[in-house]
Amino acid sequence: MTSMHHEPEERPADWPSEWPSEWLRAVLELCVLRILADGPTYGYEIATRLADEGLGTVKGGTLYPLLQRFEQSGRVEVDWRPGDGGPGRKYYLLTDAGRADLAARRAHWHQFVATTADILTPQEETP
Amino acid sequence: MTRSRSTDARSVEETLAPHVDREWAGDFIVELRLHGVAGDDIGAALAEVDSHCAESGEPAGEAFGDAGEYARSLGLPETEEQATAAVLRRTLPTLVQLAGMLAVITAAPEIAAGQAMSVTAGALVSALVLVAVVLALGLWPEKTLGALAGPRWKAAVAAPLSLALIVAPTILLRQELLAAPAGPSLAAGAVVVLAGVLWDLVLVRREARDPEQDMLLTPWDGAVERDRRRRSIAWAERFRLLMIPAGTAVMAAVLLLFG
Repeated sequence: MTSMHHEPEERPADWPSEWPSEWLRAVLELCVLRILADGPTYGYEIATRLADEGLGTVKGGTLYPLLQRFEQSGRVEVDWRPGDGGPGRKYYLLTDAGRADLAARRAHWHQFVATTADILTPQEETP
Repeated sequence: MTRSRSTDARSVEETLAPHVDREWAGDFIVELRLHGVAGDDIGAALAEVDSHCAESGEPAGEAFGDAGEYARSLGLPETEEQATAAVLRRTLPTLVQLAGMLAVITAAPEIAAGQAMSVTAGALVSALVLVAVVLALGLWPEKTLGALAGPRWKAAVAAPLSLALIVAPTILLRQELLAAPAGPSLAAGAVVVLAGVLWDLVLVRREARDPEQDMLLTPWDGAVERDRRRRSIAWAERFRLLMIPAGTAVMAAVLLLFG
Protein backbone atom coordinates (compact mmCIF):
# COMPACT_ATOMS: atom_id res chain seq x y z
CA MET A 1 0.00 0.00 0.00
CA THR A 2 1.84 3.08 -1.17
CA SER A 3 -0.98 5.60 -1.07
CA MET A 4 -1.08 8.28 1.56
CA HIS A 5 -4.06 8.47 3.81
CA HIS A 6 -4.66 10.68 6.79
CA GLU A 7 -4.19 9.25 10.23
CA PRO A 8 -7.39 9.04 12.25
CA GLU A 9 -7.93 12.03 14.46
CA GLU A 10 -7.25 11.79 18.16
CA ARG A 11 -10.53 11.05 19.85
CA PRO A 12 -11.72 11.22 23.45
CA ALA A 13 -11.10 8.04 25.43
CA ASP A 14 -14.83 7.35 25.77
CA TRP A 15 -15.42 7.53 21.99
CA PRO A 16 -17.39 4.43 20.90
CA SER A 17 -15.48 1.77 19.00
CA GLU A 18 -18.57 0.02 17.63
CA TRP A 19 -21.68 1.54 16.03
CA PRO A 20 -25.26 0.34 15.55
CA SER A 21 -25.28 -2.08 12.63
CA GLU A 22 -28.12 -0.28 10.82
CA TRP A 23 -26.04 2.93 10.78
CA LEU A 24 -23.08 0.99 9.38
CA ARG A 25 -25.26 -0.57 6.68
CA ALA A 26 -26.18 2.89 5.45
CA VAL A 27 -22.64 4.25 5.25
CA LEU A 28 -20.38 1.24 4.68
CA GLU A 29 -20.43 1.29 0.86
CA LEU A 30 -19.51 4.94 0.87
CA CYS A 31 -16.64 4.43 3.32
CA VAL A 32 -15.26 1.51 1.30
CA LEU A 33 -15.44 3.55 -1.93
CA ARG A 34 -13.56 6.30 -0.12
CA ILE A 35 -10.78 3.91 0.96
CA LEU A 36 -10.54 2.55 -2.59
CA ALA A 37 -10.07 6.12 -3.82
CA ASP A 38 -6.65 6.06 -2.11
CA GLY A 39 -5.44 3.37 -4.48
CA PRO A 40 -5.78 -0.35 -5.23
CA THR A 41 -6.21 -2.46 -2.12
CA TYR A 42 -7.58 -5.81 -0.98
CA GLY A 43 -10.34 -6.96 1.38
CA TYR A 44 -8.39 -7.61 4.54
CA GLU A 45 -6.63 -4.27 4.33
CA ILE A 46 -9.94 -2.48 3.77
CA ALA A 47 -11.33 -4.14 6.91
CA THR A 48 -8.19 -3.13 8.86
CA ARG A 49 -8.42 0.47 7.63
CA LEU A 50 -12.09 0.71 8.58
CA ALA A 51 -11.29 -0.57 12.07
CA ASP A 52 -8.28 1.79 12.42
CA GLU A 53 -10.38 4.76 11.36
CA GLY A 54 -12.82 3.95 14.14
CA LEU A 55 -15.71 2.34 12.27
CA GLY A 56 -15.40 -0.89 14.25
CA THR A 57 -15.09 -4.49 13.09
CA VAL A 58 -16.55 -5.22 9.66
CA LYS A 59 -16.85 -8.97 9.12
CA GLY A 60 -15.72 -10.63 5.90
CA GLY A 61 -19.30 -11.85 5.46
CA THR A 62 -20.40 -8.21 5.12
CA LEU A 63 -17.42 -6.71 3.30
CA TYR A 64 -16.83 -9.17 0.46
CA PRO A 65 -20.42 -9.36 -0.84
CA LEU A 66 -20.28 -5.54 -0.98
CA LEU A 67 -17.03 -5.66 -2.98
CA GLN A 68 -18.65 -8.27 -5.24
CA ARG A 69 -21.52 -5.83 -5.91
CA PHE A 70 -18.97 -3.11 -6.79
CA GLU A 71 -17.33 -5.54 -9.21
CA GLN A 72 -20.61 -6.57 -10.84
CA SER A 73 -21.70 -2.95 -11.26
CA GLY A 74 -18.37 -1.87 -12.77
CA ARG A 75 -17.38 0.43 -9.93
CA VAL A 76 -14.16 -1.54 -9.41
CA GLU A 77 -11.84 -3.67 -11.48
CA VAL A 78 -9.99 -6.57 -9.92
CA ASP A 79 -6.43 -7.75 -10.13
CA TRP A 80 -5.01 -10.88 -8.51
CA ARG A 81 -1.54 -10.26 -7.12
CA PRO A 82 0.84 -12.49 -5.16
CA GLY A 83 0.81 -11.87 -1.39
CA ASP A 84 3.80 -11.32 0.91
CA GLY A 85 4.75 -14.94 1.51
CA GLY A 86 1.10 -15.86 2.03
CA PRO A 87 -1.68 -16.65 -0.42
CA GLY A 88 -2.37 -14.17 -3.20
CA ARG A 89 -4.66 -11.19 -2.83
CA LYS A 90 -7.54 -9.90 -4.87
CA TYR A 91 -6.91 -6.18 -5.35
CA TYR A 92 -9.78 -3.82 -6.10
CA LEU A 93 -9.18 -0.77 -8.29
CA LEU A 94 -11.71 2.04 -8.32
CA THR A 95 -12.92 2.79 -11.88
CA ASP A 96 -14.09 6.15 -13.21
CA ALA A 97 -17.65 4.97 -12.62
CA GLY A 98 -16.72 4.16 -9.01
CA ARG A 99 -15.12 7.57 -8.57
CA ALA A 100 -18.22 9.31 -9.95
CA ASP A 101 -20.44 7.24 -7.64
CA LEU A 102 -18.27 8.20 -4.65
CA ALA A 103 -18.38 11.90 -5.49
CA ALA A 104 -22.13 11.97 -5.96
CA ARG A 105 -22.98 9.94 -2.89
CA ARG A 106 -20.48 11.70 -0.68
CA ALA A 107 -22.09 15.06 -1.45
CA HIS A 108 -25.51 13.51 -0.87
CA TRP A 109 -24.38 12.01 2.45
CA HIS A 110 -23.03 15.35 3.69
CA GLN A 111 -26.42 16.89 2.95
CA PHE A 112 -28.07 14.10 4.90
CA VAL A 113 -25.73 14.57 7.87
CA ALA A 114 -26.36 18.34 7.84
CA THR A 115 -30.12 17.69 7.75
CA THR A 116 -30.07 15.27 10.65
CA ALA A 117 -27.74 17.57 12.59
CA ASP A 118 -30.24 20.40 12.13
CA ILE A 119 -33.03 18.20 13.41
CA LEU A 120 -31.03 16.97 16.37
CA THR A 121 -29.67 20.36 17.43
CA PRO A 122 -32.01 21.86 20.05
CA GLN A 123 -33.61 25.13 18.92
CA GLU A 124 -33.08 26.72 22.31
CA GLU A 125 -31.40 25.28 25.34
CA THR A 126 -33.92 24.47 28.04
CA PRO A 127 -32.60 25.06 31.57
CA MET B 1 -26.48 -36.18 -15.90
CA THR B 2 -24.92 -33.56 -13.68
CA ARG B 3 -21.50 -33.70 -15.21
CA SER B 4 -18.50 -31.83 -13.78
CA ARG B 5 -20.60 -30.92 -10.82
CA SER B 6 -19.33 -32.11 -7.47
CA THR B 7 -17.24 -34.76 -9.26
CA ASP B 8 -14.41 -32.30 -8.74
CA ALA B 9 -15.71 -30.85 -5.48
CA ARG B 10 -14.46 -33.42 -2.99
CA SER B 11 -10.93 -33.65 -1.67
CA VAL B 12 -9.87 -30.51 -3.51
CA GLU B 13 -10.86 -28.10 -0.72
CA GLU B 14 -7.44 -28.27 0.83
CA THR B 15 -5.52 -27.66 -2.36
CA LEU B 16 -7.84 -24.79 -3.27
CA ALA B 17 -8.01 -23.12 0.14
CA PRO B 18 -5.43 -24.45 2.63
CA HIS B 19 -6.29 -21.82 5.27
CA VAL B 20 -10.01 -22.53 5.27
CA ASP B 21 -11.69 -25.15 7.41
CA ARG B 22 -12.25 -28.12 5.11
CA GLU B 23 -15.88 -28.61 5.97
CA TRP B 24 -16.64 -24.90 5.48
CA ALA B 25 -14.94 -24.93 2.08
CA GLY B 26 -16.84 -28.09 1.09
CA ASP B 27 -20.21 -26.57 2.03
CA PHE B 28 -19.31 -23.38 0.16
CA ILE B 29 -18.39 -25.27 -3.03
CA VAL B 30 -21.48 -27.50 -2.91
CA GLU B 31 -23.82 -24.53 -2.38
CA LEU B 32 -22.42 -22.65 -5.38
CA ARG B 33 -22.31 -25.78 -7.56
CA LEU B 34 -25.97 -26.43 -6.75
CA HIS B 35 -26.72 -22.91 -7.94
CA GLY B 36 -24.90 -23.60 -11.22
CA VAL B 37 -22.06 -21.13 -10.64
CA ALA B 38 -19.01 -21.59 -12.91
CA GLY B 39 -15.95 -23.36 -11.48
CA ASP B 40 -13.56 -20.45 -11.91
CA ASP B 41 -16.00 -18.08 -10.16
CA ILE B 42 -16.20 -20.51 -7.24
CA GLY B 43 -12.41 -20.92 -7.17
CA ALA B 44 -11.89 -17.14 -7.15
CA ALA B 45 -14.42 -16.58 -4.33
CA LEU B 46 -12.81 -19.35 -2.27
CA ALA B 47 -9.30 -18.01 -2.92
CA GLU B 48 -10.40 -14.66 -1.51
CA VAL B 49 -11.79 -16.31 1.63
CA ASP B 50 -8.52 -18.23 1.96
CA SER B 51 -6.50 -15.04 1.60
CA HIS B 52 -8.59 -13.26 4.26
CA CYS B 53 -8.33 -16.16 6.72
CA ALA B 54 -4.56 -16.44 6.21
CA GLU B 55 -3.99 -12.73 6.87
CA SER B 56 -6.48 -12.23 9.70
CA GLY B 57 -5.88 -15.59 11.39
CA GLU B 58 -9.67 -15.89 11.78
CA PRO B 59 -11.45 -19.19 11.05
CA ALA B 60 -13.74 -18.91 8.00
CA GLY B 61 -16.85 -19.62 10.08
CA GLU B 62 -16.11 -16.66 12.34
CA ALA B 63 -15.23 -14.12 9.65
CA PHE B 64 -17.78 -15.18 7.04
CA GLY B 65 -20.53 -16.90 9.03
CA ASP B 66 -22.42 -19.85 7.57
CA ALA B 67 -20.81 -21.09 4.31
CA GLY B 68 -24.11 -21.53 2.46
CA GLU B 69 -25.43 -18.11 3.45
CA TYR B 70 -22.17 -16.42 2.51
CA ALA B 71 -22.13 -18.26 -0.85
CA ARG B 72 -25.67 -17.05 -1.63
CA SER B 73 -24.92 -13.48 -0.49
CA LEU B 74 -22.25 -13.11 -3.21
CA GLY B 75 -24.90 -13.22 -5.95
CA LEU B 76 -22.56 -15.00 -8.38
CA PRO B 77 -24.08 -15.60 -11.83
CA GLU B 78 -25.29 -18.98 -13.06
CA THR B 79 -23.18 -20.38 -15.89
CA GLU B 80 -24.59 -21.04 -19.36
CA GLU B 81 -24.00 -24.74 -18.61
CA GLN B 82 -27.05 -24.51 -16.38
CA ALA B 83 -29.35 -23.14 -19.11
CA THR B 84 -32.30 -25.43 -19.80
CA ALA B 85 -31.11 -26.42 -23.29
CA ALA B 86 -27.63 -27.33 -22.03
CA VAL B 87 -29.04 -29.41 -19.18
CA LEU B 88 -31.38 -31.26 -21.55
CA ARG B 89 -28.51 -31.96 -23.95
CA ARG B 90 -26.46 -33.43 -21.08
CA THR B 91 -29.36 -35.39 -19.60
CA LEU B 92 -30.83 -37.02 -22.72
CA PRO B 93 -28.13 -39.73 -23.02
CA THR B 94 -28.80 -40.68 -19.38
CA LEU B 95 -32.53 -40.96 -20.12
CA VAL B 96 -31.85 -43.19 -23.13
CA GLN B 97 -29.68 -45.44 -20.94
CA LEU B 98 -32.40 -45.59 -18.29
CA ALA B 99 -35.01 -46.55 -20.92
CA GLY B 100 -32.79 -49.40 -22.10
CA MET B 101 -32.18 -50.47 -18.51
CA LEU B 102 -35.91 -50.63 -17.79
CA ALA B 103 -36.46 -52.82 -20.87
CA VAL B 104 -33.66 -55.18 -19.80
CA ILE B 105 -34.82 -55.58 -16.20
CA THR B 106 -38.44 -56.02 -17.28
CA ALA B 107 -37.53 -58.70 -19.80
CA ALA B 108 -34.93 -60.61 -17.75
CA PRO B 109 -37.25 -62.30 -15.19
CA GLU B 110 -39.65 -63.31 -18.01
CA ILE B 111 -36.80 -65.03 -19.83
CA ALA B 112 -36.01 -66.90 -16.62
CA ALA B 113 -39.71 -67.84 -16.32
CA GLY B 114 -39.96 -68.68 -20.04
CA GLN B 115 -42.77 -66.18 -20.64
CA ALA B 116 -43.36 -63.20 -22.90
CA MET B 117 -42.55 -59.74 -21.51
CA SER B 118 -45.57 -57.77 -20.41
CA VAL B 119 -45.52 -53.98 -20.16
CA THR B 120 -48.13 -52.68 -17.73
CA ALA B 121 -49.63 -49.21 -17.50
CA GLY B 122 -48.01 -48.89 -14.07
CA ALA B 123 -44.54 -49.63 -15.45
CA LEU B 124 -45.00 -46.91 -18.05
CA VAL B 125 -46.13 -44.38 -15.43
CA SER B 126 -43.17 -45.37 -13.22
CA ALA B 127 -40.80 -44.78 -16.14
CA LEU B 128 -42.30 -41.33 -16.74
CA VAL B 129 -41.93 -40.41 -13.06
CA LEU B 130 -38.30 -41.56 -13.21
CA VAL B 131 -37.73 -39.33 -16.25
CA ALA B 132 -39.31 -36.40 -14.40
CA VAL B 133 -37.06 -36.98 -11.35
CA VAL B 134 -33.90 -37.15 -13.48
CA LEU B 135 -34.87 -33.98 -15.37
CA ALA B 136 -35.69 -32.17 -12.12
CA LEU B 137 -32.28 -33.10 -10.69
CA GLY B 138 -30.59 -31.64 -13.76
CA LEU B 139 -32.72 -28.51 -14.15
CA TRP B 140 -33.25 -27.46 -10.54
CA PRO B 141 -30.39 -29.04 -8.61
CA GLU B 142 -30.50 -26.48 -5.78
CA LYS B 143 -34.18 -27.19 -5.16
CA THR B 144 -34.07 -30.96 -5.57
CA LEU B 145 -30.68 -31.85 -4.09
CA GLY B 146 -30.97 -28.92 -1.69
CA ALA B 147 -33.86 -30.74 -0.01
CA LEU B 148 -31.58 -33.74 0.52
CA ALA B 149 -28.65 -31.62 1.71
CA GLY B 150 -30.84 -29.59 4.05
CA PRO B 151 -32.27 -30.57 7.42
CA ARG B 152 -32.13 -34.29 8.08
CA TRP B 153 -35.90 -34.71 8.43
CA LYS B 154 -36.39 -33.25 4.94
CA ALA B 155 -34.01 -35.81 3.44
CA ALA B 156 -35.68 -38.52 5.51
CA VAL B 157 -39.00 -37.60 3.89
CA ALA B 158 -37.89 -36.57 0.38
CA ALA B 159 -35.71 -39.56 -0.56
CA PRO B 160 -38.15 -42.38 0.30
CA LEU B 161 -41.06 -40.30 -1.03
CA SER B 162 -39.48 -39.90 -4.48
CA LEU B 163 -38.59 -43.60 -4.50
CA ALA B 164 -42.18 -44.48 -3.56
CA LEU B 165 -43.50 -42.22 -6.34
CA ILE B 166 -41.37 -44.11 -8.84
CA VAL B 167 -42.22 -47.61 -7.62
CA ALA B 168 -45.89 -47.25 -6.57
CA PRO B 169 -47.46 -47.05 -10.08
CA THR B 170 -45.80 -50.34 -11.09
CA ILE B 171 -47.27 -52.08 -8.05
CA LEU B 172 -50.70 -50.45 -8.25
CA LEU B 173 -51.49 -50.32 -11.99
CA ARG B 174 -51.13 -53.83 -13.33
CA GLN B 175 -53.22 -53.47 -16.47
CA GLU B 176 -51.25 -54.88 -19.42
CA LEU B 177 -50.58 -52.47 -22.30
CA LEU B 178 -48.53 -54.67 -24.57
CA ALA B 179 -46.74 -57.99 -24.64
CA ALA B 180 -43.47 -58.65 -26.46
CA PRO B 181 -41.13 -61.62 -26.79
CA ALA B 182 -38.74 -61.43 -23.81
CA GLY B 183 -35.45 -62.39 -25.52
CA PRO B 184 -35.51 -59.80 -28.32
CA SER B 185 -36.78 -57.18 -25.85
CA LEU B 186 -33.78 -57.77 -23.59
CA ALA B 187 -31.41 -57.58 -26.55
CA ALA B 188 -33.05 -54.35 -27.76
CA GLY B 189 -32.81 -52.89 -24.26
CA ALA B 190 -29.11 -53.72 -24.08
CA VAL B 191 -28.51 -52.07 -27.47
CA VAL B 192 -30.35 -48.94 -26.31
CA VAL B 193 -28.22 -48.79 -23.12
CA LEU B 194 -25.04 -49.03 -25.18
CA ALA B 195 -26.27 -46.41 -27.65
CA GLY B 196 -26.94 -44.07 -24.72
CA VAL B 197 -23.43 -44.69 -23.36
CA LEU B 198 -21.85 -43.99 -26.76
CA TRP B 199 -23.84 -40.78 -27.13
CA ASP B 200 -22.73 -39.71 -23.63
CA LEU B 201 -19.14 -40.59 -24.48
CA VAL B 202 -19.23 -38.33 -27.54
CA LEU B 203 -20.49 -35.43 -25.38
CA VAL B 204 -17.87 -36.09 -22.67
CA ARG B 205 -15.06 -36.14 -25.23
CA ARG B 206 -16.30 -32.95 -26.83
CA GLU B 207 -16.42 -31.23 -23.46
CA ALA B 208 -12.94 -32.49 -22.53
CA ARG B 209 -11.54 -30.87 -25.67
CA ASP B 210 -13.31 -27.58 -24.95
CA PRO B 211 -10.69 -25.05 -23.75
CA GLU B 212 -13.47 -23.35 -21.78
CA GLN B 213 -14.34 -26.54 -19.90
CA ASP B 214 -15.93 -25.68 -16.57
CA MET B 215 -13.44 -26.54 -13.83
CA LEU B 216 -13.00 -25.62 -10.21
CA LEU B 217 -9.76 -23.60 -10.26
CA THR B 218 -8.37 -20.63 -8.36
CA PRO B 219 -6.83 -17.62 -10.13
CA TRP B 220 -3.43 -19.10 -9.18
CA ASP B 221 -3.84 -22.43 -10.89
CA GLY B 222 -1.71 -22.56 -14.03
CA ALA B 223 -1.67 -24.92 -16.99
CA VAL B 224 -0.26 -27.81 -14.94
CA GLU B 225 -3.05 -27.72 -12.37
CA ARG B 226 -5.63 -27.24 -15.14
CA ASP B 227 -4.33 -30.37 -16.88
CA ARG B 228 -4.33 -32.33 -13.64
CA ARG B 229 -7.93 -31.32 -12.91
CA ARG B 230 -8.94 -32.08 -16.49
CA ARG B 231 -7.55 -35.62 -16.16
CA SER B 232 -9.27 -36.23 -12.83
CA ILE B 233 -12.59 -35.07 -14.32
CA ALA B 234 -12.04 -37.41 -17.28
CA TRP B 235 -11.56 -40.33 -14.86
CA ALA B 236 -14.65 -39.41 -12.88
CA GLU B 237 -16.61 -39.20 -16.13
CA ARG B 238 -15.46 -42.67 -17.23
CA PHE B 239 -16.62 -44.04 -13.90
CA ARG B 240 -19.96 -42.24 -14.21
CA LEU B 241 -20.45 -43.57 -17.78
CA LEU B 242 -20.05 -47.14 -16.50
CA MET B 243 -22.67 -46.81 -13.76
CA ILE B 244 -25.89 -47.50 -15.69
CA PRO B 245 -24.52 -50.25 -18.00
CA ALA B 246 -22.80 -51.98 -15.07
CA GLY B 247 -25.90 -51.67 -12.89
CA THR B 248 -28.06 -53.01 -15.72
CA ALA B 249 -25.74 -55.97 -16.28
CA VAL B 250 -25.69 -56.89 -12.57
CA MET B 251 -29.48 -56.61 -12.23
CA ALA B 252 -30.05 -58.60 -15.45
CA ALA B 253 -27.68 -61.33 -14.24
CA VAL B 254 -29.42 -61.58 -10.87
CA LEU B 255 -32.88 -61.63 -12.49
CA LEU B 256 -31.88 -64.24 -15.09
CA LEU B 257 -30.38 -66.51 -12.45
CA PHE B 258 -32.92 -66.09 -9.67
CA GLY B 259 -35.92 -64.51 -11.40
